[in-house]
Amino acid sequence: MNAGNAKHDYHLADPSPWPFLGALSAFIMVTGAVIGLNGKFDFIGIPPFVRPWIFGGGAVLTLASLAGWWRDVIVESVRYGEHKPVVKLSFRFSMVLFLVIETVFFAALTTIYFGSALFGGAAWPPAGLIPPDPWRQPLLATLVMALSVSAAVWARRAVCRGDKSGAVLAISAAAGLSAIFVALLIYGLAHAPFGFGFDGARMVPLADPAHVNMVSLIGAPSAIFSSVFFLVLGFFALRSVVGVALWTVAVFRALAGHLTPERHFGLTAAAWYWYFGAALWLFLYISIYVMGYALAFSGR
Amino acid sequence: MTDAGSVRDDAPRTWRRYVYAVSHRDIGIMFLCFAALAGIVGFAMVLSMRGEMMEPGLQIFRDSRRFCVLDTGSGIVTLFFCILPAAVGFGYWLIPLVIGAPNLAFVRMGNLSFWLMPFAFAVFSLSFCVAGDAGGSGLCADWTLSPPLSTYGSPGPAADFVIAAMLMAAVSLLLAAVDFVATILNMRAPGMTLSKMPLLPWSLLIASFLIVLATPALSAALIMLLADRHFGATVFNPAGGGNPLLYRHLFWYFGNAAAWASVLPGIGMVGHVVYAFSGKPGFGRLGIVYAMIALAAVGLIGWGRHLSTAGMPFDLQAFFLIVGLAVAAPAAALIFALVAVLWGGSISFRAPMLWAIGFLPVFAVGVLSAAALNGGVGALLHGSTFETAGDGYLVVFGPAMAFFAGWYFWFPKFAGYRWSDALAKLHCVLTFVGGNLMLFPLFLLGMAGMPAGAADYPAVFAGWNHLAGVGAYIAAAGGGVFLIGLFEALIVRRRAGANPWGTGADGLEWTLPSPPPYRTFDQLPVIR
Repeated sequence: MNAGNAKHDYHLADPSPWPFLGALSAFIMVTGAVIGLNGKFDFIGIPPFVRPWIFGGGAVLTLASLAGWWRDVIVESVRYGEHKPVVKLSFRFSMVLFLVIETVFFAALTTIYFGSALFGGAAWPPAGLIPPDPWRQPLLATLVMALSVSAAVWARRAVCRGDKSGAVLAISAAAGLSAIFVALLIYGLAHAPFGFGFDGARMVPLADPAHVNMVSLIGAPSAIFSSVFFLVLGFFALRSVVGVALWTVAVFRALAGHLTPERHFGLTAAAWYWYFGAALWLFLYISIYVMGYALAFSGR
Repeated sequence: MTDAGSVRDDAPRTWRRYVYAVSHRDIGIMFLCFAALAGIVGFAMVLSMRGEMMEPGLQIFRDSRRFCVLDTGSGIVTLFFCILPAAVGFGYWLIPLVIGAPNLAFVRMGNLSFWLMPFAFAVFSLSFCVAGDAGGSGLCADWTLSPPLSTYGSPGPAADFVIAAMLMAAVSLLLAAVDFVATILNMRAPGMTLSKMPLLPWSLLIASFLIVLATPALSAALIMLLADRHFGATVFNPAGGGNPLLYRHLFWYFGNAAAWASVLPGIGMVGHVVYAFSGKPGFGRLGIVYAMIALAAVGLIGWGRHLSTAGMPFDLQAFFLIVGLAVAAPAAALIFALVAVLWGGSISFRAPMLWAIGFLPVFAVGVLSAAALNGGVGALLHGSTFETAGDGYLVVFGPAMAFFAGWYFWFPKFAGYRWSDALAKLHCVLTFVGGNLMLFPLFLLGMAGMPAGAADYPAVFAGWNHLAGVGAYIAAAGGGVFLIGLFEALIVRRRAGANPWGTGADGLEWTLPSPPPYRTFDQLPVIR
């Protein structure tokens, strides 16, 4: 690479098309999403059946840009040895910041849950709503999550020992268990005893001229529980899918011999990501599944 | 390959240099150009609105809805596409030079954070072309996108485009913030401890932490808005047990932090300028750093001042009142520290110094109005043009003064040429006079009870509104002088040399040629 006559260990990246292509794909994806979501409106005559494909194409392009970018980074690390200790330290800083960003994001998503539960004034969970039983599929998911964390710890130990076959086995176990966790989570979301959101309720603007700015509420106040439930757990499922992808890539990198005792930040990042997810899951499991269920049957 | 020791200029040629950019300075200058263009667009919007407001009745706009669309858009353009990207652009350009690093920690991530911005702006611009509500195209809502105006009040795709653009801009800001933190914490020149680090990277480090801690809340709020709009969620909809007030809490948690995140880099730049031109050794640098940290801390938890009429519990109101007033203490420490640097110095009134001195009263007025918009007084003035003026001073006018101080200070380094001092000073005087004339009457109008965002008003408000319009035109003339000065500097080409400012400018960036070669600090500088 173009280390030239640099007398330092920092990594000077070569010109790369991926950032621009990533931003362009994000633009296509986002525009396609807005166009696809507004089926009732006309966009310069784009026929409705084309619209989801704009979003889908943009999403595929975005993923392709990220994959190409990631491939470049792996090549730089493995073939050119660009990731000196100081570069890895930057990776660590950014990974920690990423987890901070995720913490704030999930905290913001759950504010309405705790706001309603603690300060809402009304019954929580809303009257008439039975949350899913925490001792069935969610408990199983928790156990699988615990096993996957154990596999992650095992994988890092194996890599640090230089035990290649053990590392492949452990990372494969982590990948498989995390995939089972995601499947259980999505199964639970699909079989939740309530639907997403409004249940046919809506706001109707008042017709009489004296109250044009007011609406009448034709609704089910319980819709807030399902809204938050699906938003929070849906985003948790999404970030878990990313975790499965990280583990899967780590399996292939272990098979290719990329993970050495000295150089395995890809695995470390995947493990940090997954440990954080485990802590977050424990928090969500207790506060949404267990507390929600317990409050629903606390003899109010 | 060239011989060892020679300066190797392996810059990629033509468009690749910018589209595939991997130099922090290329990314920085693209950010600054983008911010300047967005600033021209945003100021044109404001100018048309102030022109409309010069007389009662409607003269320029056909109906008040078009005014409302511009009112919504100008706030978003100004904050998300002008002020914050300008701060990011200065950061990209200057952080590695000031801390003695060859490049950013994650330069490709920096390039992604730039290219998301023009695409986000394109998505935002699409919102003007599509239906907003039954009244026509474009989004007519509060610029904070508060529900229900942004949910069932604007059923058209215009609101979706605005939300999507803000999400993309939020991702861009987060990437830049992570990049800044990793670069500043990890890539300082050997010997440059945090306590020896100059003010600009300090201010951007603090601002980056604000962005990291606040922006995800905005993303979550916008995603919940989309869920409410299209997927039947009821997070902000009382008909389904939701709470529209939550959006305002989440938005202003971000918005208040972002306001301080846009002011802090300006303070850092003014610090550099004041140290360089005060003609005496710098004073109180660590004190300024601590004051900036304190300002960021109260900025992060003090969002309640934007919700003074939202019906919060009394204890919460008392908390936010105390935090809101506490902002004044670190801000006063900053202003007094900078004045103390000037005190007794042999000040050289070059153009950047004029801008820096102009920044101080503007910043003071912004902070004082932020402190005034609290508690009971805040409840009285909330939603009036007093709030517009306060936010304008704090988030737009103050940072603009500081950014121009930084621009004129570092332009010789950016371009290698000196700017005409007379034109820069004329720009400063026009901006200072015009900005104050444009914004200060809004304080008086707000106290007299004029609501913000109204296209028309009773004749009793006419005088001050006319004056504000005159101020807007004077500030616009200042912008014209800026563009003339830019072309003049690039055409006349007065060579700047490595350091045009003399011994006061003692940062690492002034040890490099102007403009610096494509590759800098191949041999890391050592700080003693």
